[in-house]
Amino acid sequence: MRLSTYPNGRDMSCIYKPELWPQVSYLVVFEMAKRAWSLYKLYVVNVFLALDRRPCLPPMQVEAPKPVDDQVLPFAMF
Amino acid sequence: MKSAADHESVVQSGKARQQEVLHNVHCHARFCNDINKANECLAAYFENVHPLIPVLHREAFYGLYGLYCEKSLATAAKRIRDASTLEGRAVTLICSVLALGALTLPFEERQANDVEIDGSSLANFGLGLGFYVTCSRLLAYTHDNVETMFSYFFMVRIFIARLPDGIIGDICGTCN
Repeated sequence: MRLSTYPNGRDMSCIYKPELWPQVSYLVVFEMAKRAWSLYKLYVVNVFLALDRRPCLPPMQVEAPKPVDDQVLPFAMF
Repeated sequence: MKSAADHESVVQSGKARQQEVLHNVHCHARFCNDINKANECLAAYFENVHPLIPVLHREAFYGLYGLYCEKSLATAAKRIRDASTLEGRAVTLICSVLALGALTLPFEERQANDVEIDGSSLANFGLGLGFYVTCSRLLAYTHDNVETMFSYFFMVRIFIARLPDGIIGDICGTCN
């Protein structure tokens, strides 16, 4: 996935389907994707370091995720 | 000739051991068809896992879960071929989340409330494995979308959770 190109609004239809995420904006989905990439990169780098190897990750130039309010009402059973 | 035969037997015995190990793991899988158990796993995910890996927006995921939770149950999920369809994408992501949640369910709670799953210490593991198997099957082919990216991330996270203490300690220390 080319996350770095998505802020420009390009190719979003192929990765983001509003039908799957009701009442959720593209920006929230994009921030979740950036969170996943940031944490994945952190984990991989730590594993490489623990193994005394030099981390090698593709330079995707994805900016850091922004703080997003996660607090919602208590979970209601479906 | 003899060494080649020996090598062949070594390979065969290696495969046999591998199959035996995988069989021993797979035989513990428990496939969930109870929406209440799935709801428990989701609640456990956001209570125990989400603070460590805050990727999903809670309210956003609840919306997706509300639409597709019934299709994520084992019997319904079998009708989905892979993660290329809308429901495939949603069910893959939900199962990867529920797998992590199941692994963090309190053991006592499962013993008290779960009548279908035996009370052994492998119950939570088996429940998580059941979701993991569904997720793995749906991800047999790679699809370039955000839901499968999340799913891969969560599945890798399960693997990392099983790394030796030294490594996982470093990772958790960095996260905190």
